[in-house]
Amino acid sequence: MDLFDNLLIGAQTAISVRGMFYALIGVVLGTAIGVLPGLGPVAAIAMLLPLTYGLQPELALIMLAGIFYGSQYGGSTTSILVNIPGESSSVVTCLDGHQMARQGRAGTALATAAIGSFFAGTVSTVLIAGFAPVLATIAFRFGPAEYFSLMILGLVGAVALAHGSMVKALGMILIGLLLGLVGTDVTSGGQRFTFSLPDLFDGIDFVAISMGLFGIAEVIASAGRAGNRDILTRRITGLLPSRSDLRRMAPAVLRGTAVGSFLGLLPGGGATLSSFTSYALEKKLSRTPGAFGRGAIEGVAGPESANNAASQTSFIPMLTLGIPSNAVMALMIGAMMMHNITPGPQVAVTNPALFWGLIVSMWFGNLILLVLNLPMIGLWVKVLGVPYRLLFPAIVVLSCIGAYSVNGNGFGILLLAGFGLAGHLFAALECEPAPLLLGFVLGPSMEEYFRRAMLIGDGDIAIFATRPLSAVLLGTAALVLLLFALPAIGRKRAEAFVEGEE
Amino acid sequence: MILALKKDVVAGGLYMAIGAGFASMSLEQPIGETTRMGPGFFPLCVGLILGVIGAWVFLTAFRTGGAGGTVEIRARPAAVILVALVAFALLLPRLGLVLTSILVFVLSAAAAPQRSVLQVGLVAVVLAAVVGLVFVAGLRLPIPALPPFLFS
Repeated sequence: MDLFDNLLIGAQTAISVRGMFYALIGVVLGTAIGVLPGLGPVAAIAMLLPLTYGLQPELALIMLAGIFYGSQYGGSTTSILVNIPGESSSVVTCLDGHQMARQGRAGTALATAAIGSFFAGTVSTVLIAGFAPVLATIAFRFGPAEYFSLMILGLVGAVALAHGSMVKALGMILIGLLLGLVGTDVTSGGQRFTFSLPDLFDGIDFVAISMGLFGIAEVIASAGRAGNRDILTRRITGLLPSRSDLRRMAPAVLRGTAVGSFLGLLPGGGATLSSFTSYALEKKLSRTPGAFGRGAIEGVAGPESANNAASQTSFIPMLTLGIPSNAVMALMIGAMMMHNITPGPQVAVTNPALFWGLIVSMWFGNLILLVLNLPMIGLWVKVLGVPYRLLFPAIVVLSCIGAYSVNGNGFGILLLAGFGLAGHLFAALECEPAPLLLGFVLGPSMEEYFRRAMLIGDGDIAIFATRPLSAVLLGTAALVLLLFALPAIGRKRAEAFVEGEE
Repeated sequence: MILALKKDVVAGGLYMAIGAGFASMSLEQPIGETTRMGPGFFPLCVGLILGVIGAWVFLTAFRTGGAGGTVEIRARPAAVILVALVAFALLLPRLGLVLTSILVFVLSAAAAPQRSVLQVGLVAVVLAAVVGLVFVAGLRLPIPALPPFLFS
């Protein structure tokens, strides 16, 4: 059986002493950063990226994946204990999780989140192992026209499902695409948009752009802002959910896992959308919708399972097609490229140890989360107590080290500063930075596929419409754009996000 | 600092400017033909589309009488953080990672009101020590930990 052999290859990488060590380090560091209010997976991964430079690619990815779900789980802890979401996907966890904590059931809420996440993680790991190779086989038949259309669909979907103005998000994607083209043109070897600066010949540094837009911009926006914190300093007891708790959470966990696994596959989907959707679903299905917002355990179990399932299934389009569905996956692609691995269907064939090692490590990482985090909760509560005024200077220093160490000179830091300011301006204008990052990552390959498709099509743009698969993909993209531009659906979309934010 | 400008007006203007900038720079590159595109072709198209989207955002903002509220820029923290970042780039090759980290930490801490200078300094020293151990001693990044002039 193929799947079994493959998982065995993966297990050899992931369950090796070093594989487990880096997964452990990743999960622990990720959780520690995710626990800090305002710092989510994007910031955590970007900040810790330098730690993985010297590692073998598979170990680096295992560690980064660990940082990713660690920081996600850390965010839930913060939501429950402080009522400040560590990141956007745990916004809804605040609603009922924090209410449970105030009723003295913080331990139960934390355990529910951990158990739900572990279950969802296990299911979605199996899904990835089963589906990714199938998708990769299909992707091998894609020509340049299909890839180009697929990227258009991916980017359009990301805009439609993310929040904020769609038109403005489209603009951000285009800015990202243009920034991605800065540097040496692969086809002609000429320099584009480099202003003759040798530091730009290799393109804009990926770490600087993501740290600037997500790390530094956040520091500028939050430094010195008085936050009203409501930390629970009581000792946390009663971790294990009671029998009746289990009965109430089990269906919510199952539904959350299903919702999350599906939404994670969609471009623009991922953790945030799926946790909101799961919360709305649980509330609708509940016999006592009035209990939501007052400490309903389903309101924690559903969204927490959903966001973990989605964070994992969003690896499928990234690993097999090279298409990032959200900012975190864009970062993972950037990290893979730093190790000279181009994500795409060939990864599973040319680099089976990396591909399957990563998949197996996801399950293992979830196990570490479950086993380690509940006993370590006391430590996380202490980490939570660090005031932001002492935290943000540390973020600045760590970002600097990251941006400096990519090329070993100060130019990376000037870029970091530039993108930090740009990120603050974007935030002030309500322009979302995530679509920009997606465009930035896809820019060079989109141009390359466009060129090649046009060459095959003899210079006629009709090639994108005459190749059936490409036509279907583009048609779907157009349909998505149209649908979400309709006022009625636009309102629904806005409501879906407001639901949790009230 | 609150600018008396509507968010979408500025955003639309910004998109148009970036689009126009990239489009005009693309024109300096060989454009080529549709079968054999030069390096200017794709960015020219993207730049133009960005310009159109910018115009759309800009005009819609005017028509609806200014959607999205006014722009609020946090000038003070932005300036302080900018200074701290530039300081890191300038100081690191001269002072090494540990001293630079301490200085940059203290500098950027000035972006927010602090309770005690002593506390900031103490945290800065601890962080710098950890950073030096992890990145230079542990990960062996090619960065000097201590001021290079001490050893020359």
